[in-house]
This record gives sequence, structure tokens and C-alpha cells, in this order.
Amino acid sequence: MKVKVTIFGKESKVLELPKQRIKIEELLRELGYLPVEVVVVKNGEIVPEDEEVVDGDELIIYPIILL
Amino acid sequence: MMLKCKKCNNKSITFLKYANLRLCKEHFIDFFIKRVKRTIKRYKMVNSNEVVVVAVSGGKDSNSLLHVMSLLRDELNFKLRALIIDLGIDPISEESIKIVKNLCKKLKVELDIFNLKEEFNFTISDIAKNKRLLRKRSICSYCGMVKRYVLNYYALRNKIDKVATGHNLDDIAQAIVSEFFVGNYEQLARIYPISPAKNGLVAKIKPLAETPEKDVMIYALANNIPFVRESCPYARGAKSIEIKHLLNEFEDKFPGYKISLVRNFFKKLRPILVNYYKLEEYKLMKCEICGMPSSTNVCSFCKLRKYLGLI
Repeated sequence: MKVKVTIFGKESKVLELPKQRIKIEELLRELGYLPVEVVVVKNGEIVPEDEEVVDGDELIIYPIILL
Repeated sequence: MMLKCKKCNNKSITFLKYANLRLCKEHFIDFFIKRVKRTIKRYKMVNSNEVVVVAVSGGKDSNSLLHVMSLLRDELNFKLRALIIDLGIDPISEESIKIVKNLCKKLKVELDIFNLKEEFNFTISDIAKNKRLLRKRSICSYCGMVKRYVLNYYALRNKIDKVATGHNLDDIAQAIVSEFFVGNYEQLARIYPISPAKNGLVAKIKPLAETPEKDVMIYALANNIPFVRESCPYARGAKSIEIKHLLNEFEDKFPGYKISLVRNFFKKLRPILVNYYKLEEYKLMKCEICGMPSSTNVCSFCKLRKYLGLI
């Protein structure tokens, strides 16, 4: 599946993932983010990290601190 | 599968692990506002008819604080104003002022802009360029000191009762750990959600002291509160941010640890330190140059202006 991921204030990229669905928490950890350190907006709505992502979803990740 | 709000069964926007609580947008906002109100009341931060100024930077924390304070001003009966200090940091200062101006207009809050260059003839960027100065203290340390001085200077000049800052629970947890690690226990004892007006210092309050930083971000996004995209260019790689990250790694493994650390510090350890260092009896001198409160003959702000050749 393909998921568009934008880091707030930074770059956007389309990720190609080998799974059909994945929990946001799992995706965040793969991208190197701690769930407690970001807020995720999926398709325009704030979502909890235990929500799933499917093909075509668009995510914006808002880091709460910038390392 | 829809993940439902614990209170109304609508779609949740967050799961607060530290409270084992899943909330929709409406109930999260309600939860957030009630917690800030509880913090204000618990620490007796505001009295009737007082003038409270929120020190805004354009970031998510102070902008969200201004938003929530504007919602509470009638119920808690205080007058609200906002202040932004133009620190002269390119490019964020200009963008911050623009964002804060729009927010204040929307919230119907009177805004003052304090221009550091116009008032004191230097900017934070001037300090950042001065290698000799940066050998003494970090740029963030200078910036913090300058902001504290200006807030006090502004508040005394404008008869402000309370200065509210956007420090959140994560900022406080970080400050506690930082001071503890370097053994600065007297400074550790000073960390508290309120500091009363004393020794020529204006009273300061931190109404977000019990609110985790992530919740502030959710509140800002849920209410479409604008905030600056860029962080301060000088703060990148700062030790304080690294310590916050380490605390978040801890929080990730043990949800609720940051709240527990801050609560237990205020309740159990801080009273012992306050007593040991006799902070209640602590007196400040007046700076020989500017007359503002200082722990030495000449205050840090005037020392800085001397180094910059301005006095």
C-alpha cells in the first residue's frame, strides 16, 4: 500500500509499505518517532496512534519537540 | 473499527495513556480547559479583577495558553492582555508577530509588542554572532535571561498583576531533571507553577504546569490555533530538548511517569528544599545600574549590555 506522509514544516513523501494495513504507532516507530512525541492528523482529522492506516491515506505528523 | 470516546461514543481523536482515557474532540477540549482551570485554582494563580498578561511567542504552547485564558477570563473574572517580545531572531520573529497579531484580533485580546532593538538597542541575533559572549553562557541561557528581564520590566511599567507563561508539564519535568543532575538544588527549589510578587519581581504563573506538551499540541490543532512552523534556529541541539526526549522515552515505556515526577517533586521534595535553603526569607538587591532586582550588584542583563558595549 502507498501512504503519503508529511512532517509538519518539513518534507512530504509517499511511502510504499509491504502490508495492507498498519497501526499508526507501528509506522511512527518505523519512522523513528516516539508516539508520545507527535500528534498525527490522518486525512484531515486528529487520530489516536492505535488507529490503522490503509492504502491511499494521507498523514501529517506534528512533532511536539524538534530534535 | 471505530475507536470511541469514553464519554459519548463518538470517534476519538486521542487516547491519553497516562489517564487510560479515550476522548473525542469535544470532550478532549473540555478535559483540557477543566484541567487548566483546576491548576489555576489549585495554586491560587489569579484573583478577581487582576490584570493578567500572557507572554506569547507564537509557538503552540503560549498561543494555546492565550486561547484557553481568553475562554476563562469571564468565569474567573480577570482582565487579559498579551505581550510578544520582538527578539530580532530571523526569520521566526517576524512570522511569530504576524501570527500572534491575528490570534489576538480573533480572541479580542489587547496585544503589546516589545521591540528589544528599539528599547535596548540589541537583538538575540547580535548575541548569537558574538563568540566571546557564547563562551560564557549558551545562547538559550542568554535568551531566557533577556526574556525574564523584559517581562519584569514591562509588567512593572504597565501595572500588570500576573505574567502567565506557556511552560507545560514537560518543560517543568525537564527543568527538575536538569537542575537535579547538575546539583543545582537551590535553583531546583525555585521550580513551581507560581512565583509570587516579591523583591521587585512581578508574580508569574504557569497555568499549563499540569498539562503534558502533547496535549497542548492536540488542543492547538483541535481549535485551529495558528502557531509558528519553525522552531528557534538557535535552539536546535539544545541540551534541554535532549533531556525532554529522554524523559519521553521513559514516558513511552511507563505512561504517567512525567506527571508522577512533577507531582511528587512539588508535594514531597520541594517543601524540604525550600525550607533548607530558606527561600521564604530570600532577599534580592537592586542592580546598581538599572535598579531592577538582582542577586549581585549588577544584574545579568546590565552585564550583557556592558559586554555588548551599550552602557
